[in-house]
Amino acid sequence: MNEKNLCGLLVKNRLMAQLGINAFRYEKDKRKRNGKIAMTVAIFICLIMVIFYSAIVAYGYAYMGLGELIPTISLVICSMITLFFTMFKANGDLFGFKDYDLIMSLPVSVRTIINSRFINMYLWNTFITILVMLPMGIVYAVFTKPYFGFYIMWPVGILLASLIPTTIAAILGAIITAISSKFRYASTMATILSILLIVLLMVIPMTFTQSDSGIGSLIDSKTGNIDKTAFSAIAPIISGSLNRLYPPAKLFSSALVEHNIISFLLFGGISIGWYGLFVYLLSIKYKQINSALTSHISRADYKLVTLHQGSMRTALYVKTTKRILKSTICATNLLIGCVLSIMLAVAMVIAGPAKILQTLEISNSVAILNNTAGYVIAAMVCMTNTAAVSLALEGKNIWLIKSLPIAPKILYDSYLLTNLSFTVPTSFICSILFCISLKPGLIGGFLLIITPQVFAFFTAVMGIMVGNRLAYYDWQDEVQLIKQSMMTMIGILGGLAFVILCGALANTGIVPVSPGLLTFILDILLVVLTAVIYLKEANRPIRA
Amino acid sequence: MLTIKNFSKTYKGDKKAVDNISLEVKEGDIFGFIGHNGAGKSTTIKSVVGVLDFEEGEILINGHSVKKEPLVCKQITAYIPDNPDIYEHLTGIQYLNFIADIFGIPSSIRQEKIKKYADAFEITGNLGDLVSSYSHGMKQKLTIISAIIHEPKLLVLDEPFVGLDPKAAVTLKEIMHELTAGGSAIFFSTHILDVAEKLCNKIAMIHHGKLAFAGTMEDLLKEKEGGSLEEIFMEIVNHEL
Repeated sequence: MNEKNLCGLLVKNRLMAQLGINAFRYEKDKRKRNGKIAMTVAIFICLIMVIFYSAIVAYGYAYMGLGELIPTISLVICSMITLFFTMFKANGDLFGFKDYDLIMSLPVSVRTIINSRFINMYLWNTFITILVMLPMGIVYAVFTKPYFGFYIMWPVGILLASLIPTTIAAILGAIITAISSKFRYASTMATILSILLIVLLMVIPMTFTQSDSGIGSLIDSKTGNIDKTAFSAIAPIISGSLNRLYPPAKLFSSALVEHNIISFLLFGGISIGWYGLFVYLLSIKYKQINSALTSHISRADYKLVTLHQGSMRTALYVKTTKRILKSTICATNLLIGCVLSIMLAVAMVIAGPAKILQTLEISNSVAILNNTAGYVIAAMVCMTNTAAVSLALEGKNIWLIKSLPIAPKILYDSYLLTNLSFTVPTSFICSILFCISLKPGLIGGFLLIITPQVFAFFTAVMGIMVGNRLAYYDWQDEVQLIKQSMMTMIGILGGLAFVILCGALANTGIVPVSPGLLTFILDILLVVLTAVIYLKEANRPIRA
Repeated sequence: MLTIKNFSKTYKGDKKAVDNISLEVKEGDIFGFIGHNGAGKSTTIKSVVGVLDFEEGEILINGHSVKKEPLVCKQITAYIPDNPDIYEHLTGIQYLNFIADIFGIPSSIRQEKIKKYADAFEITGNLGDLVSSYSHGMKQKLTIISAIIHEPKLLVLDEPFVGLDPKAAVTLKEIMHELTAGGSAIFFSTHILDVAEKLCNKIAMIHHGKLAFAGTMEDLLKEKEGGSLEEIFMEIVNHEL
């Protein structure tokens, strides 16, 4: 079999594992099969939402007379999504994957292995790119009536779009894993570096778009009508910001808007050349990087010291907390809500609420922020729902939990404690910082502190409920569990949706009660609901 | 110590993995559980230790039902699985301390036991390293130590000798004798028939989910007129074919 076919075989094998095709075809356990089907349906709904959202965004720009920005914006959106989704998959997908030993022992060249792993990432990212760029391209075609070259360049552009960001993400992932592999606590180091990188990647775009684009002056304050001429005038400003943020977007935009074939050829050449260079350079050091990742520091010089007795609950709590913190995938994905909320709270104190709202282009909303700040903190912090996945994270170790004399309540308590250890202090710190920034008064401050705490407890208990109903232990890699499982989706998005629902109920005037009083009533109701769910769930047997 | 009465386990698809088996393991017994791959050994063992749920029959540990009083049973039982999948994010000593906390072992006793068994298996120096850096054999040794530090009344092992070096295998056998001398009972599955013949005082053979023999090793060898355990096992397997 030639190298091309071998590469195809490796890609096919990996896709079969990721898509769980055999589970659909051969799984006899109805529960598992139904779980897969439910998950597929949920993902399908999310994908339709992505298509719909992309089309709406493109329509919005076209409607405002900014149609020429659509190529730039679509490419920047796809590239950002690709970058964020691929960066933390590099370790596990490209490096240090589970079947590394098996694959490397086969008569396949290193370059073919890298190609197969990279093509796999590329296929997924191109799939997302299609979901974003295809509807945006259709809207662009309908509104701007482009020249014939568009119908060739746009589809080719879709196929090329994810090459550069996938490569950049793989390089960043490789750098993080290479640096962290030098440390004794490699995974902790990888987590810290990954979170720093996320923060950096979020701050960089803000510096490119922070200049006042004058959005506020584009809407007539008296009539509320959009001034289309003014909008057209700011198009170059937005375009310039995005091009500075992601230079290849300039080439793509120039090709489509200015009909510049050379720019398109350059865009294609850079994308393919960049990828080729990456594969060539990586193939030289690939074995070395993987060896560093899979080898462990072993001191073998331990001397027994005094061992202290602790309670069962504490032992389980410490074990679960370490499990989450020592896994880069878990820590970066599950704790990002806490990190972002702290970032926002610190920014609120340093820059002030008016400036932050202006950056987010929602100025004149300081009064609303006073009422909703508690919900804003809750929404971000509740995205950290480790309780929902803690049981499933036991994975192949579940035999231990089941064979040890552990009462379900104690196990669930330990999962709750772990979750609350992240969310409660974060919520409290954010609340204090928001209080300093907003100066909400005594009652406002009380609600600002209490509301996120109530939601933190509620979402953690909900996480236990969800986790014990949907947990499965035969997952192949953590990425699959953390990023693609029903538990995480419900755990994170369910909590978020609940916070938004309560926030909207309290602040939109649907109920003729003041926002503060309504928030207080909702808090009390939520405390009662949390207690009821906890008591009901506490003694539920551990899921088989 | 362990009583299995009319135990059956059916997996999805109506296949009976274990079909109406009954046996009894008494204090001081080293009870070997023998059978071919897929015979139902691991299913039985996992049901005994509470990892697998079951519908038919009854399993009692020290007179307590595994189904009705699981925590009481687990408090006096230890299980060593065929594959030592243990927490890789902990160091060896952290893992042992975790298990000791679960069983509420006082500080001084856990220290003494860990030292004794870690020295016996020659892994004391490695206890400060992450479990993820351990070889299969080292993980197996750590699992064994974690299972015996609380002096279980019933020790259940699934293929305990797989992956152990010869010296560690001898150490394990010594520990098994030591435990039974102290009144504990041991129930273990194995494919190594020589080990079973020399180590066990009682034996059960399971074939396609059904019990082919259960009794003392002495009775079995007498019944089959001087044949070795390997010959007897082959005879049973071939007879069924």
